[in-house]
Amino acid sequence: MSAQLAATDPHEVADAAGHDHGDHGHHAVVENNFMGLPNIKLAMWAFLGSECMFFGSLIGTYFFYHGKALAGPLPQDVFSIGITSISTFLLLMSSLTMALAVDAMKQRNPATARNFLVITALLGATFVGFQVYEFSHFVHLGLKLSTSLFGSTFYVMTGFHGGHVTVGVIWLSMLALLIHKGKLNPAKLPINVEVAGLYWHFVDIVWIVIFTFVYLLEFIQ
Amino acid sequence: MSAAHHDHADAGGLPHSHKKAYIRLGVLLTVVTAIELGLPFLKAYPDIWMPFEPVWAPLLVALSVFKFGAVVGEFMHLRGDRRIFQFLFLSPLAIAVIIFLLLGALTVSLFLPFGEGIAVTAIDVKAGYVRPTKSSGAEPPLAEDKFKAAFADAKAKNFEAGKAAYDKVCKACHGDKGEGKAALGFNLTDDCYKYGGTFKDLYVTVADGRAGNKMPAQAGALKSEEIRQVVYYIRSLKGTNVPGGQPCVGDKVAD
Amino acid sequence: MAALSVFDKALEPVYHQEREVKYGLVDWLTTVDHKKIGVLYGVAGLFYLLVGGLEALLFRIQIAKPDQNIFVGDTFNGLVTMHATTMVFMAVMPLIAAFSNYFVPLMIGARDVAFPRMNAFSWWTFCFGSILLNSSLIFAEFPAAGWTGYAPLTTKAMSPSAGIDFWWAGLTMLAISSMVAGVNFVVTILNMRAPGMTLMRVPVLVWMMMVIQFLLAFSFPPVAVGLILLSFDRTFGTVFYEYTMGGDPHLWQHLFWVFGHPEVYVLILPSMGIVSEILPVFARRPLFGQHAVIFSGIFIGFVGFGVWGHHMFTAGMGPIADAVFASTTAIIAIPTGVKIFNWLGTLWGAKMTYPTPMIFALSFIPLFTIGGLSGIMHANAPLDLQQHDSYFVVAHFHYVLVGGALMGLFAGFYFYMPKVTGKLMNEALGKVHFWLFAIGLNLTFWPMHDLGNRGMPRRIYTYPADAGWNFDNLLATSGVFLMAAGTLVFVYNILTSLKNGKAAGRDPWDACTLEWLADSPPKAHNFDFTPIVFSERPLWDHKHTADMAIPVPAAAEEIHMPSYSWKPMWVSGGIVLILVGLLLLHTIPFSWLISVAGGLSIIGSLYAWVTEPV
Repeated sequence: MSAQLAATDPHEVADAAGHDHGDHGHHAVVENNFMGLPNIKLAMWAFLGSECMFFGSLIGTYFFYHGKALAGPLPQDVFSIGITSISTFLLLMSSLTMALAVDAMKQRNPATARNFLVITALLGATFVGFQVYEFSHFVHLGLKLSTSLFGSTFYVMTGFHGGHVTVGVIWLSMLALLIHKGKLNPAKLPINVEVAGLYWHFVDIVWIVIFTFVYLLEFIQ
Repeated sequence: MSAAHHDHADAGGLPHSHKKAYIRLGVLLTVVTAIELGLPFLKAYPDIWMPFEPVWAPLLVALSVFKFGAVVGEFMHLRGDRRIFQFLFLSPLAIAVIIFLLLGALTVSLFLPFGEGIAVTAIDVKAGYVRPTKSSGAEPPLAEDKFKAAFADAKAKNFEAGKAAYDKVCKACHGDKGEGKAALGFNLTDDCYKYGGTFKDLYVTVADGRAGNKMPAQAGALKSEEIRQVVYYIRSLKGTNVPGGQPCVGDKVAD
Repeated sequence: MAALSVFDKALEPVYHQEREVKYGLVDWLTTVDHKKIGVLYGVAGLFYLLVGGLEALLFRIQIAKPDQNIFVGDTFNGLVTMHATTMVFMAVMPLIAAFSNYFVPLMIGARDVAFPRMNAFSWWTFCFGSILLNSSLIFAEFPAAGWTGYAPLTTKAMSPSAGIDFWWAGLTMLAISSMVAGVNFVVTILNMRAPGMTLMRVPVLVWMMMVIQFLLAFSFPPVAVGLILLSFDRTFGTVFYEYTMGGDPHLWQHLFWVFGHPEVYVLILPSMGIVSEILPVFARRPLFGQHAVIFSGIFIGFVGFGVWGHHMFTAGMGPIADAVFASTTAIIAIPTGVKIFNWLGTLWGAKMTYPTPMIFALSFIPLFTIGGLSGIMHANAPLDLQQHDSYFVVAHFHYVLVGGALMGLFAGFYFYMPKVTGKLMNEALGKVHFWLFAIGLNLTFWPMHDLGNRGMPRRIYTYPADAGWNFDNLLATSGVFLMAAGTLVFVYNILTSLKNGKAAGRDPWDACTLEWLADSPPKAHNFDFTPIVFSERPLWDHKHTADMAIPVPAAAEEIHMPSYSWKPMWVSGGIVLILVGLLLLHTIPFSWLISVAGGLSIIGSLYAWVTEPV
């Protein structure tokens, strides 16, 4: 009844330089897959669910304190429709290019996918650049983290969003690099890019919420 | 192995490309965003803006819900994907929306730009409060007393600053003590307010002016902090009923 | 390109699979095997159980009698805070993680969890986080604001000592550990079940673990935000909790309790699951209303997100909020009652045997019920106005946590230890442990109902001699010594059974579920062949029903186990660096460089993680 565990490991194949030429899991892995779904996609959706609670708390805190700042510039004193438009447009377009990257990967076109990943990362990096500019501009106008409830809630909420975008930029760049160097299992590439896409789109929809409830509703007052 | 059921394979064994659909959606989202960003510019046209006042905010929310749903449903492919993915994401989303967005928005002034804030300068209580330790025998002042003291101090500072702003900008038309001047400015010391006596109403009156009575906008002359302080000062004048003041104009506000 | 290959070479993993079970130091440090990780959590949990118990013993000595001066002021507050923080986050939760890690894959017929390296990451993040938290004693003082850490008490102005900084930093790491594990186990339980194991055939313990993993993944973020806001207030001068700038004390309370309430269901549901596994085995009956018990657990998990305000009845939320939360809290008592009645139904008329796991499991029912009854009283908002912050609350949650959760965990230890070690535990010592502990806990916590009713507030380090509280406090302290003695007997039992226990064999209790099919202790790959499941009692079917025996495949399967890895520990270490840099921000110049180094090392470690062959 005992299984035959291979005496020499067929997966451990290294050349003289020590580079791994193992089969990286192409063999028959006896791993249950009850729902017939990739583990990593289930994990990403569950993680995004928890991120809903995370950003919900941050945005909820912003609402909780909205209108209660006791000092310093108010939103209408600092918000600029111009910067906000550009930022929003950039992130929106990055969602499109990300979707196109996923699609290209599904069409077994890693080079195109890699290119779209790079464009997406660049758009995201530019978005972060605009955020940094906006923050420094606000500081100039007298709004710091410690100035008031508005300063604290605004910077922390949008800052964590920006941090998530930054993590996404690093992720997509690394993914593009690894695709370029052929270091990832080709069979797993479509799902890896898809899962990165889920994260990226989520970061975009958080911005949709912030953009509407923090900026737009202020602009129409 | 992924079971997205409308990824039918074509002759080459690959799923259909969604490129065109994505680009179309991208264009649509851009158009919607452009509309959202264009909306605030309509404020300059009060004939269009005012009649639909209560509609604009819900409209913006609805548009953003549409964008949210479009990105989640189409770009993230949740629509038509396996139910488990929908459950994993939508149930915490529902919990977050209910707990944070709804409760937070209902209990706090989301749709008001500001509440009954007082323009105070930052109060530093970091110095002076000492937690009792085994060795220290002195009883530190109660936090409540410190706050009351700081509050009273801030009120006084506000009053001074507000009065200074009033003298600079309002005195000419509303008089030394707020009693008003004929054909120039209303009486600010009675209980009557033509445009409302709440903090918000007064703020808007001062900042944006009231064209109907030729009250000029002060948003250029005063910083927002100063506007708040002068409103605070004006509210303190209510009910002082200085003799020789202008007659009552507008509704009596009990407050 | 040449530079990169040098980089790659330096990070080249030691690629060999965890196929034989080895126990060297490096094996423990690099393991990704769910069983070893379970043992690590178990040992840590037991260790911190003793630490937390010692903290309780010390402060209970102080309040055993009035007007004592042994531990006062912030020393006392620190002991109280650390007792609770240790027990909740470093004792009970890792003990639950021990069971979850070791047994969930076995019970669903899998070889490991969905993401073994992420699993190791959760362990190391917990390990380093708990050390960071406790190091507050060495580098500053124990945090002294209660385990609930209410702001503004925890602001820099009110708590200048760095103890609170260690508190939020350590807790942040523990939060990350649990959130990651939550995602890992949800995916594992959903996607790695053996063929034929539909959701309704999943054992009750695994169902309860799945519910709590959802709770962990979705309830920790709000408190993580609360801690982040606190850390920003203390480190960067933000004003979230600064009442002089308009900060509202309710904010912390809401953020904390939106997490805190699901957390207490996290603490209790696994023990309920363990009881649901043990009672049927020793009553020789299937669990009565198994589906109802499962659905009750699911209902508790969901509605648990809607009751947090019952911790804030005295915070001034207003009558409508109070009424809503009182109602939802009352409703959530119903599925708990369903479970209790189903357990009773399982036992009714059954021919039971009473080995140690059974008596611990049986004791859960009345002890937890006592705690539940005082809980219902708290649900009544007007009544809670009197009880809040009194010892009545302390009595309530200790009955449910010690009489409930801990008794259930003890039961699980006695039940499952033979599988882990391959040796049976000593029955006589087990009974001694039980009686010492059960009597001790009642001696300690029953009088606290009386103390609360007589007005004794929580978290006070002394009281006047004429308040009428003297006898009850003395009684309560005496019970602690009995509980300590019982726990020491338990530890002794574990250690001696490891050496001298009788061989347990695969299935010492003649049970029904898949984990008893594996060897004791299980081989590294758990099962030689993937079991196929036809009912919720697969092992029973295998033993007693010829046509439902677990089939042996004709061809041998190729088994691939994940390999050892250092990367999870490195990533955890990177997080520690980030936090240490922040903690030192106002103490040493350029400490933010430490945080930057931590961030960069995380990126590098993740790159190595992603590119290493599994």
